Amino acid sequence: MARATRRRLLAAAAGAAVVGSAGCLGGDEDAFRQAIGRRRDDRDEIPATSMDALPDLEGDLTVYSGRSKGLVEPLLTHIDDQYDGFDLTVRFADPNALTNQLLEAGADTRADVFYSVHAPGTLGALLEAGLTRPLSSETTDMVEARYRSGADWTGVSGRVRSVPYNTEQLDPGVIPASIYEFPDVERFRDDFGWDPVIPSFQASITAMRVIDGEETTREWLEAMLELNPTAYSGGFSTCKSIADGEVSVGLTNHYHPRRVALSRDDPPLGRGFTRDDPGTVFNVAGSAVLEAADDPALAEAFVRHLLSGEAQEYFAMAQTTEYPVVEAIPPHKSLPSRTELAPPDVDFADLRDLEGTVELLKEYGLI
Amino acid sequence: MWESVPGVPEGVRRAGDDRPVAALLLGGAVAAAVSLPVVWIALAAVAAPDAPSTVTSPRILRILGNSLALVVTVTIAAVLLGVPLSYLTTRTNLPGRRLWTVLLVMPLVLPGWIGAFAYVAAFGPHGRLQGLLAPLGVEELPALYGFPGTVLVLTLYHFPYVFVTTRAALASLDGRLIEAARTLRHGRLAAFRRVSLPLVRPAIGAGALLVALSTLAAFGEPMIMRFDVFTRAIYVEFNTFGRDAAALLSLQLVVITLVLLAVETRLRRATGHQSGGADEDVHDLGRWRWPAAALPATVVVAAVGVPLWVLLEWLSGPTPAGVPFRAEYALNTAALGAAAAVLVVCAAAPVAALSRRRSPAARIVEASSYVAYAVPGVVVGVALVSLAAGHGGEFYQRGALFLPMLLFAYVVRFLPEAVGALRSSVFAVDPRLPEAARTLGRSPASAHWEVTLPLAAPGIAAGAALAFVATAKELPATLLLRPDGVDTLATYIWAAYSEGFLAAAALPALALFVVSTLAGLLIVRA
Repeated sequence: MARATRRRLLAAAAGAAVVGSAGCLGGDEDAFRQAIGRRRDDRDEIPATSMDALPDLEGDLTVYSGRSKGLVEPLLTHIDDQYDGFDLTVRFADPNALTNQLLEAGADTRADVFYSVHAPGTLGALLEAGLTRPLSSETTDMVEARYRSGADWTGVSGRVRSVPYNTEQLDPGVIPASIYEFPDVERFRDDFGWDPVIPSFQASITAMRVIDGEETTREWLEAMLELNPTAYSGGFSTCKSIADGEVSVGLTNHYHPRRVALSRDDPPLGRGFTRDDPGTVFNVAGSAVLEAADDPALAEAFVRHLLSGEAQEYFAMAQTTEYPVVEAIPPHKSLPSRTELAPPDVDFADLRDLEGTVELLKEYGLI
Repeated sequence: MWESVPGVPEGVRRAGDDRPVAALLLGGAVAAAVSLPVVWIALAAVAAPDAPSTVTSPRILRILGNSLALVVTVTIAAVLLGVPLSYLTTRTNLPGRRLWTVLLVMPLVLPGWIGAFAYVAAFGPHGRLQGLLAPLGVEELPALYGFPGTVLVLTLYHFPYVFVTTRAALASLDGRLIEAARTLRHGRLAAFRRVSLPLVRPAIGAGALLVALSTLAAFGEPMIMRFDVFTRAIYVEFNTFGRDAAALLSLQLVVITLVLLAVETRLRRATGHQSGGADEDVHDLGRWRWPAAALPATVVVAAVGVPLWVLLEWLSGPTPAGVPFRAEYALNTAALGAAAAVLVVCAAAPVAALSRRRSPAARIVEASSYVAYAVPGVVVGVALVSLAAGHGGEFYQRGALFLPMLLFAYVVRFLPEAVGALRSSVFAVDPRLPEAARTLGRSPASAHWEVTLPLAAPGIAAGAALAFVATAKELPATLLLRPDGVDTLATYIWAAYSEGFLAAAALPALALFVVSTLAGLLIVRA
């Protein structure tokens, strides 16, 4: 994927004799195999459409990825490497920033596909602006209806909001089952961390605004701020700080504790969930074909690769341990099954107002 | 592209003497180009709806308060650190003065934001430092976030501005004046206070203002330390549906920096030249000679040693999870740095040539190249993206504008340093030397090629090295303007940091640190 861009950069910075950088992509394929290898060894076949059964990808494709490089690059490189005539360029950046850029560029964007976390907010904003292109039934048939927004865009993997805590410092019994009781827990004062900059946090605030109203949301935020919470740069750093004992409890996505566990031996991290409230929103990272796509068929075929059995296995098994959106593939064994979760009853369409939530959080100085 | 360099002084030398038009046109074009982002931001801010209410919102007032508090504190701290250090390394018999001087200038070329995350990692309840101090019974260290952390890191990496300017002034101080004061029964301290200090005060002021300017422009340090200042707010607003607010904040930031710059220009003019004179007055530190070295040693350990130690410790740990590193990122950094260095030196040539002239037009050109210096990288990035998105059409859509814009941003940001380096090298070569070569039958071009260039080479190299290292560690403009799919050492480290994979950033951060150090040594030697 980096081949074309490297060429471009080198061509333009001519004279700065830089050659011989080819052939350094080997590590990524290993990363992909490593990520899903364990699982694939003990099973013969993935119970879902394989990449081999999908149409070949051919041509140039530009993907804007609001998903972080560390999490999805091995998969994207794997897809790129399957086909000789396929050249994938990916711009990784902050999801809200890319949404902004795409809204501003409108039909003038050079992106063909937008792949982002908090799909209802980010992809939803593009949908509202008429910048997306409907998906065909070949694609939508691969995904349960509840994980996509009709044919507008499709979820690619799911995540649920959770309550990570330090098992050495906190008795999980003090964690309330309702997000609205958090401000009353005196134990959390000066000892609470969250991640307001990440879109999943923002999605749970949007859910709160939709389910319980603007006023309740403001009251909850103000009450939480009374506890003097620490705002971290993301869910991973929140969980890392919880494991370090900097704070003892917080709010992050379900998979963030696991990523800390992968980076060190046995961190003292536990994970709780609230029930049936905005504290445990189920959200998806998703993908849409843009109206401005040069080759819509290629763009959609790429999206289908993200829904292939291999890709879905990757999401279930890799560092993220996300929820696959293809139901034939079970989530990682460390996770509650889909039926054990108790997310609030909101539609993806309800979670669309990203901008309103962002403005609200800015008002409280949270981002 | 290097061939174009010897051609420049020729036109320029004539311009300096009898044909100013060519240099003025070229210099004027450069100045106009680098002023473009400022003009665009001003226009965008004025056109923004709800401008007055946004400017006075509580949040913006808080950001303004934070920024001003930071600037004042860091500047004072830098003076308190820089002035004693410059005194110790010029006017005393401190052991190893030359070595300390080199080491104390070094933080200026190092990426301060990498220092910032090393400090974040070192401190805190389970940080590396606590681990080290655990045997001594230290169970908890306070986390270094917010105001104190930002002040610490910015002071460590920006104080050398004061150190360098004050040192130059102290070194050229006429020792006889101090001796005169001493014969009038003044103690060392009193002589310093009543004679040396008033004489070097303009130099301290100039250094302090550079500290203030660079503090206002700092991006990575306050981001990492989670302290809400203008640069951080601009970046966040720009990325979250707040382009108008970003433009307004940018304009406020530019106005503040312009005020500082105006003060700086006045001070610079007030800095008279000392009559050199015999300088044998050395302050004998006596038995404090060795203990006094603790001050520079502490500063060097804090600014260079601690980050190196943290990075090396990460490296020795288990293979980190996260984004795989590729050699390509280092090559991109090298290619961008080299391209920027060449462009910056070329753009600086006509401006530096004009600086020898005293016409009002020449002065305006020189001043406007410094205005760009006062525009933080995040503002340049925001301005260029908006400009290209609005008027770039097909080129922007194809992504063809990012690389030119990025290189242009580097030129805007790093032009003044290169102008300074060229002014003191190419244009300091005695014009009679190439003329002598011409009387010996050389063509004008080959006279400059064979005479001027070798003499000026160290200065040109220093200017290029400055631009290279500044480009390599530049963050905000690179984040906003990098072409699709292109990552550099700096953006990779940033991504690894913001995704929480601190250890994955160790190797590239170390590489950036080492490259900066090498470039710094080159600059110091020149």
